[in-house]
Amino acid sequence: MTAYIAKRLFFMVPLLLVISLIAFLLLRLAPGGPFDKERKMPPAIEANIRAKYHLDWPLWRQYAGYVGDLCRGDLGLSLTYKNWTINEVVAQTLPVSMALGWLAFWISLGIGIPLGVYAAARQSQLGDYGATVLALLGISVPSFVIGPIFVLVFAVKLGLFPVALWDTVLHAILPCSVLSAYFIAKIMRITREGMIGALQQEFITAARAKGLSERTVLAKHALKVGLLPVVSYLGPMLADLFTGSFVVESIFQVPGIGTFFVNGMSNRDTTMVLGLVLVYAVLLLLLNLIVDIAYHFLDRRIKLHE
Amino acid sequence: MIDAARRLVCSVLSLQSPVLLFLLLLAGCAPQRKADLVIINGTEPETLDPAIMTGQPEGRLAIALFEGLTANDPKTSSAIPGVAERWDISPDGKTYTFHLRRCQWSNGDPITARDFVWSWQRTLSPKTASEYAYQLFYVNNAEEFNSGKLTDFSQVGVRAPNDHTLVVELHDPTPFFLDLCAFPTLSPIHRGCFERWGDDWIKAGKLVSNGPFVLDSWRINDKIRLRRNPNYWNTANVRLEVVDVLPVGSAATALNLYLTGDADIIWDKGLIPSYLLDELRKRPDCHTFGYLGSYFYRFNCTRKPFDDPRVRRALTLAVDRERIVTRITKGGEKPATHLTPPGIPGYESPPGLGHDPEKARAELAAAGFPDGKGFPRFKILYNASGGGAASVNEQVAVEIKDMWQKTLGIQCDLVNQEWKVYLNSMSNLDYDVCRASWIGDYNDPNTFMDMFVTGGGNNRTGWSHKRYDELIRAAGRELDVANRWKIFQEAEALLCREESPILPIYFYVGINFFDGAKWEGIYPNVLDVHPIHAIRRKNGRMEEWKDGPRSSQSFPAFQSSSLPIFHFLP
Repeated sequence: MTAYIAKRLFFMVPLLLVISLIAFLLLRLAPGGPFDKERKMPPAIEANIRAKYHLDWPLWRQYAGYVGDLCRGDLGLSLTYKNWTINEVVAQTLPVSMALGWLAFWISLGIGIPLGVYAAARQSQLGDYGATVLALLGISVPSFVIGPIFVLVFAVKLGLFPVALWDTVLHAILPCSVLSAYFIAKIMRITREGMIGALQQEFITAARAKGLSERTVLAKHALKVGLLPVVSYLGPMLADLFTGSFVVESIFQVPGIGTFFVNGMSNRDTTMVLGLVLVYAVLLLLLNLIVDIAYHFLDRRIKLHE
Repeated sequence: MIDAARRLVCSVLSLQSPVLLFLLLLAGCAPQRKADLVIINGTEPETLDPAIMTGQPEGRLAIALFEGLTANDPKTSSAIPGVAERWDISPDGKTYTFHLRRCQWSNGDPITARDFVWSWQRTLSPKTASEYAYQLFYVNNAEEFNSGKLTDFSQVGVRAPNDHTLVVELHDPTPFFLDLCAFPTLSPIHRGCFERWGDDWIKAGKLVSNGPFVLDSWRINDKIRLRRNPNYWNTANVRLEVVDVLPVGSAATALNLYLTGDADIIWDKGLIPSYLLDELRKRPDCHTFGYLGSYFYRFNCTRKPFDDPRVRRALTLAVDRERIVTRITKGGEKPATHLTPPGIPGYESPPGLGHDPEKARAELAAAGFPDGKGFPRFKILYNASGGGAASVNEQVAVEIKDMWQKTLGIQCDLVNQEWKVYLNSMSNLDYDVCRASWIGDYNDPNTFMDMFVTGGGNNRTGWSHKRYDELIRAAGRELDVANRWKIFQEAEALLCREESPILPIYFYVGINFFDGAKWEGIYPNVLDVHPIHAIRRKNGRMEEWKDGPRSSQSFPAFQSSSLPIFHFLP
């Protein structure tokens, strides 16, 4: 077990290097630089700025320097937000996105799983179709449509919640709801498929034959197997939720990490994008590892390859 | 052990830990005291370091935190005494002697002339890499020091003979130098603070400043909180104790925050949804005013057929600007036929080429394309990604494409590029016709006209005209104001009536939202500069911003029919 975890952690290192190299090259290949503005600056001043950020070095040396800093845990200085290091930006904004994502995570599971179980139990009946239509809406209506509608109804018209900003728990309700819409639908669909598969297996027939109530069959026997696909989705889902959503953050002016990801790209803020790509990659890899371990505990048939 | 772990996994999955998430949520977002004033200021500032900043959202915060030798008059935005209470100017206009008032930094240290010398040295130092360092290039040898040709700062034209006198030597008389002194790039910063904290000096809790406010907190993309600086020399006239400045990325969100009372002021035009302007402009709390910026198209004069002035004139004459400002921008923008916006005191631009379809067709026929026959298909380049204010660019391009097609019978395609890609294409002359805009640096035609000299970094049209270059150089030497205006008028007529390398479309407006019955001290001016310390809540009786205890004293302002003003590039 420990060996397995150590091996997985060890292989993260080369993976992260490759990811950072690709991201670095892609950013450098994009036309336009971080200091291009509507106004051109005098060449001598541009030279000073390029020297300060080592943009005058050859590419390999720039990347080597970046990796060197990375080994010391230093993600470098943002090229756009000139007083902030990427470490500071991550330290301030990741907890916000994580809090938002964490709440949305539980909302998605709390609504998505029961809905999926319900739909599976009523397969091809009216309730199943109702739930499926709801899920389809959740997946296909984007958050930049749901967001403004929620703001209009719940904040502007009904005055139940603030329209935006990040201050009290009340401020988190609307962005969390909008953020979870997609994931509720996704979880519902996965649960439904998983449960339908589980309900067709022989041990369910056996359980029913024993005379167990349908409720017990669903909750005690089918659920444990039916939820396995959901568990494998939890890792990418959490990583997705934790790293924030540009759309939700900008609609509700939430100071999360997603905004910096997207703006970093359009600002050609190389260190910002590289840093955030690495944070996302680490989160994704760690969460996937946790999911794999959890999988092992939920279903003993699955062995961890050591 | 395995059983315990399994129970743990199951308990996490079984939704038994909502308590945990609320604890997580509450951490780091405990409600604070409500601010006296909440301002929506535009995007998150890129920096608060006055020597490094370049944008308008940053500049508005800089004048709250720092005060230069001069400051901006809240009403007119022209220069009034700041840290310098008075100054003498030598007869040749090249030597300024500033007399500093006895005032303090926010930590109680006295502000001395040496602080200015050191701060300007830091701004000019190549290591600081200040983008706007050229604001100091009017000072003797400043440019040489910045480019590294000169390493001895004592040869740069600024010195402090004693604690309260600062002598500045310029290489040319610069009529707008006093306005420059109010510009953030020239602000003093506290040497001890910088040397102690390094790059971190500007953070809340470390920063020592000398403006009307100090930095109470700064959470990135969340909130900047300013608190009144009790050590500011004119603090008795600052009425607001706590001011929150919010960065907001979306126009709809900004408007919602304002309309529900979560914010008191919106003063970034980019944060007002243009599709709602018809409705919004009817509101009494919508304040619009002329602004020193032009929206125009560039022609690539190095490409056929745009190398022919007749073609450029034809395309210019075919555009109905009135239609664009009434149907698309809707903010009360003025249609433009020339480059320099109105509002520069004393200067009047000669009219350029207005809307005249007949003449447009005649010009195109003369160029060898009667009814547009044989005219190659070309492209209009613009930037409209990112939405918001940029979406206007696309609507304008669609409208102009249609006008050219209907009036001249010529065909073009629309090309939308992402911002940095667009800038790159424009600089490399990789376009046929492209959208452009320019915001004046100071209140003088030169800030617009010198863009188009041969080989200028901001020319970006490939256009080159000997006579035009001569005129702009002559204007730079001319000391007589009336003659100078005449030279600029000739140059502008050449640019916009005869040669037409650009197609002026409209002049920008500034828009502020605030309740005039509740707030005062926010005045419209062409630079859209509104010092926060002048803003106060109305208490039934009118109270105006006072220029401190010494306001009765007259000061020798530079005598010029135009007092040029500096400002920020948004």
